[in-house]
Amino acid sequence: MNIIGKRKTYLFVSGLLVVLSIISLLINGLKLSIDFTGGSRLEIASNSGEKIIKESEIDKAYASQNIKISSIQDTDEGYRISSSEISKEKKKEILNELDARELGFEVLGPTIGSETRDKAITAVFFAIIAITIYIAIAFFRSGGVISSWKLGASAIIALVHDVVITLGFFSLFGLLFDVQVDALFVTAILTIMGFSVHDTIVVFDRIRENIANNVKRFSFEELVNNSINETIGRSLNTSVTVLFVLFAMALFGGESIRWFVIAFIIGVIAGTYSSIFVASPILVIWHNWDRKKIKTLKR
Amino acid sequence: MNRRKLFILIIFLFSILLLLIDFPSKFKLQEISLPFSDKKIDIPDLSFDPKNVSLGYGDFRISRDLSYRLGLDLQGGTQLTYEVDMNEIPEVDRESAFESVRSIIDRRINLLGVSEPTIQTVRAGDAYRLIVELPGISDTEEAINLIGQTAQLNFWEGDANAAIDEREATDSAGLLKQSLTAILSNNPKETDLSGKDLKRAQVIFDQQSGVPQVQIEFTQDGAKKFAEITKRNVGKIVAIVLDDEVISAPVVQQEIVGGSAVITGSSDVDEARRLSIALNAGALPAPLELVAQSTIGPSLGKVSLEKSLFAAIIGFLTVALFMFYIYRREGFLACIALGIYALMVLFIFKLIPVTLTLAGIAGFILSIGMAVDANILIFERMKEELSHGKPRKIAIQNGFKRAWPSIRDSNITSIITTIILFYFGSGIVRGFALTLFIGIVVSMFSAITVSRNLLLVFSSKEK
Repeated sequence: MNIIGKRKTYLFVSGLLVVLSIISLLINGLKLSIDFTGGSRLEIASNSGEKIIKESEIDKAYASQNIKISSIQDTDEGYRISSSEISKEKKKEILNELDARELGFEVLGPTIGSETRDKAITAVFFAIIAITIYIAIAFFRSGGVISSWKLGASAIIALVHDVVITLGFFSLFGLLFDVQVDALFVTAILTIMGFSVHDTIVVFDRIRENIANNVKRFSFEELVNNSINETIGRSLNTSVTVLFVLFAMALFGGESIRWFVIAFIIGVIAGTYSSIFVASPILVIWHNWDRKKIKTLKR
Repeated sequence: MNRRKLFILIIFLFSILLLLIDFPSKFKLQEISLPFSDKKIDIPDLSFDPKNVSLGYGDFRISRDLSYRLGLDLQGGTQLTYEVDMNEIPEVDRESAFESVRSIIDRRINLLGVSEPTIQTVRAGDAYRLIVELPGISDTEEAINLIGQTAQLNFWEGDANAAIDEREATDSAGLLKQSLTAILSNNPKETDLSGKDLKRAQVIFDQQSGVPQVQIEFTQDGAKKFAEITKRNVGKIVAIVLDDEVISAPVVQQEIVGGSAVITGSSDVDEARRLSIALNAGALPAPLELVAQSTIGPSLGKVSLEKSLFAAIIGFLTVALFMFYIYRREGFLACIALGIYALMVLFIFKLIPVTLTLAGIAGFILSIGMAVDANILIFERMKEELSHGKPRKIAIQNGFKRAWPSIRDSNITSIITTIILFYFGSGIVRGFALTLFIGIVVSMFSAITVSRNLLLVFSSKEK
């Protein structure tokens, strides 16, 4: 496969997705769950066994208690409704009005919410720093034809690519399916960051190895392209096994972790794509660009 | 070569043991009779009841509870998060106030009769929080009311003239009365002094003897009542009763005015401290505020557990089938390695023990998908080596050697993120991070031990 030769096409696809994701994020934003804002989450099922409650009835019941609904999610048995904080009396009224029973109920005070939000932001921040440091250390050894910080920066661009696309999809899901972003979603994002780098490192390791062994026989572009082709089997197979278990969870694992798993699925697909079609092409473009600069300077 | 075979044999025997521990039904094994002889071999006493596993020989014995611990989201129950309002408490006393709040709640929860309640104390910045988990309790109202109530602290005196009190009617009060009668040697009578009147209690040391004592301070109102009671009972006993339990019965030396008194007779600092905590408990040193609650109905938990287990099995089987389809003989070995891997991880879950939540199981399932990665890396390298015309055994060894740096480097980033998640996350996030972390570490271990030896023994012959 001539991946490096067609790098512009692949990068265009990625770039387009990233731009669309950013536009969607700017327009729709992300819907924050009560994990971050505080409020109540009530999971209900109809008393009569079948799912006969209509969403409009839920809207009405909540409105009559003066409670603002932020999202209504379909569950296997009924609905999960996120709203501003409900007192136990109001909860009883609502359940009575809907002729429903309570399967689960959660109330989170606003202080806990803002704390979770702060913690999530710090966690993401530290993860980025730790991963950057790790990449710097991991690629420090290479040197020679390609500078370690170019490898590191390309890996981080691939990582940002994966995260932005996942976020973009979720802002779209928020619009289409009323999906909210919760503490588990942040967990998924951080894990995706780990995965993304994990995948890229395998490809870059191979590039370094090939540079060390045959730098004279091939051009840089050829070396990178060979490295990708040598690792593509592994990349795809690994992603396929991870996707197998993820799909098993999404289809059979119950709906309370479904969106969590879907975030992973998007992240893993984006991560596999970026480790093959984004990270290395960027490396090549950068390398060529620098060489051109050196040449023009010499002239 | 023989050493490798022995190693594999040990691994298999070990796996059978893990299988029994991971999916146990109760059994007991003490002796095996050899075929064709009357001789019986005594073997180390192995008795398996997941609730209480004990392994050992003779006096040497290790006992552990080796059943899976399920989180509230899987078994149903209630989680209540309280914040202790420390605004009125001076900085230095906050730790002890926090502990006394914990001890009140602990006592009150015991009244609920929950099987395995847990109370976690959490410091988040300036906030002091208690996270109470009540498995199996879905009647949140009852729990909230009981925990939120004020403990009943009373002072009792003996009353020679009193008629029979109506309290005798109820059983628990009857028991209390019995112990009070024994202590006060007169008809016990409840005074009007109660927990409301207590400002605080603290441990002090007698200036001459250095013996620990408990100093109690009353509010203005309380001080007045206390002065009257002590005046009435000079030379007699006044019993201090907390939630219907006599916690102290000091003898009144003289009338005490000024709203402060010491209780002597504590044998050591610990006892004095316990008493002061109990007294503070009755006085509720700091108000509690319920900041978060969540209830999961038992049916919802059970359904979640069944579904996630089903997903785990499906995930495992598809990965195994895929590996077999792609890599055939090696793929089959990878499946066996994956099976042993899963047994090891489940065993560690029991050993630590890890509280399994829905997200935690998701982390475990995810780690199954990731664990194969090491095998795939090795197999792909092997294929390359073989295509360069190397003999099989060399190809396996080289493939392993050359894949290892990638396996190590690539897993480290995932380990870093799980550590960060564990450090900053709470509850479900931690559960996920912990199981994924264990999964990744064990997968690296099993790649260099189990997979490698399986390959060298069963796959090194030329086809």
